[in-house]
Amino acid sequence: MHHFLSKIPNPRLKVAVLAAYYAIIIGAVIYVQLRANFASPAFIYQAF
Amino acid sequence: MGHAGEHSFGGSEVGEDVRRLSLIAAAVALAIMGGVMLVAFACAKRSLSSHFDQAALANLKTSGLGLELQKAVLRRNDYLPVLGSCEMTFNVLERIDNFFASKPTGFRVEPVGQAGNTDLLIAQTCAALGPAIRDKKLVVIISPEWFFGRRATDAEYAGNFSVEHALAALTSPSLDGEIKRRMAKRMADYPRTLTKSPILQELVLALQEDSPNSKIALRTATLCSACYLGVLNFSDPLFTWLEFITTSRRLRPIVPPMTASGIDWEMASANGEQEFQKMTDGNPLGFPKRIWLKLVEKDQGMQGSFRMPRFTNIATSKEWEDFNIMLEVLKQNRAQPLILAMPVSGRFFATLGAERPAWGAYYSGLRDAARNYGFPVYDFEAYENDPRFRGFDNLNPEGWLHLDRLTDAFFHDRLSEESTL
Repeated sequence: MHHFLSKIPNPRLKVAVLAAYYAIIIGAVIYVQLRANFASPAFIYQAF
Repeated sequence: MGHAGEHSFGGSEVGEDVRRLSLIAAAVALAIMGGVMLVAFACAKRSLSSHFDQAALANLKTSGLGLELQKAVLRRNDYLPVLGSCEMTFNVLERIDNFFASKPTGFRVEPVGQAGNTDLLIAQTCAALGPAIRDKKLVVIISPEWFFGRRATDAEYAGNFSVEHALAALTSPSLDGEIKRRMAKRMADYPRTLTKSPILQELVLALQEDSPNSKIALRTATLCSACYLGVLNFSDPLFTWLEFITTSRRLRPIVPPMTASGIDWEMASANGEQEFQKMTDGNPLGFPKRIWLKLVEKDQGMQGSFRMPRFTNIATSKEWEDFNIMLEVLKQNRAQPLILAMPVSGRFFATLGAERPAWGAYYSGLRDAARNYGFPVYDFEAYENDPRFRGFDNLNPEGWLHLDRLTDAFFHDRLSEESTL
């Protein structure tokens, strides 16, 4: 990531890209944590 | 040396810049995610409000695991929650939520239940709803199969377990310590579900012990639960909405035949008979056609399902403790429940060689509990050999119509007029 960032000359663009990267990770972690509370292993009633 | 010093000074400056940029980026990311989450949850809540009727009738798994939609339904005067299990998912036109979907007598039914749901889970749901069910009517459908095993299986329990319900139940201010201890003791029989939340684990442990340390642990866990429940309550509408928009709904609402004074039950029964014949081809056990064929052909893969249960388990099943916990929760929350207990598939078990007294403990247990709590309980024992009432694992149209009629009378405070049912 830092190698990629070092190619970006504009510091504001650097911050924006890094912020987007962090936002995706934070969002994914929060979603997975919260989703776990509303997911139960489906009990499959023996269907005929 | 000077060059090395200058180089190291320059290097640390770059490092400082990177750290500063990362901190700024992290702060921006947190602010963005916070904003996105707020907007997403607000949009989900608004969307659910504008599609309230569809969402309430959909029997979504996430709404069953959450509390938001159920509380919204309870705030309405034209909805009646009905809690059950797999019978709430089988497609029968006269199924209670289908039957009342068009509000024929002024109310709809909110179906709550999936396969594997049992008394302990319903107790947790009712305990979690707490004050929301005070002075509210609701219907609970009991299945005799719940009592055929020593207790609900791990898969059944885990498949319907809700962390939110469990935490809210064990920290409910409207329940006394004794009922919470009983619930915690039963929850501890399913340790895998407790691993979903360390706070829940500690809460269950603290409730089961009786020492100064456990009291401190209980207060701490209760406080942590309150914070965590805030997060779950906040995220509840989003996941309900996600399931709502991604699930195809198979509700087939019917418009019941009406007379000037209400539902034409005779005509509804005639319609139900037509559906019964279509479903079963008139086989003597009232099984759906494909199940009847498997029974007749002695399908080896299905023999496990056609095996006779151990009726001796009924008298000692832990389900009775769960049933009593549920009734106690309803009593302490001052709810007004109607308990509708499906009859045993008497004719089917008779073909397997069982005799009626084998499952008598099921009916006597229900009646004893009804006497203790004073709730109206209907067990339909008189229909246990009627294939039109009950088939293999579900109610047939005539059975559903009996439940529908009692529910209608219950909602309109006319139960005493239907005592002949």
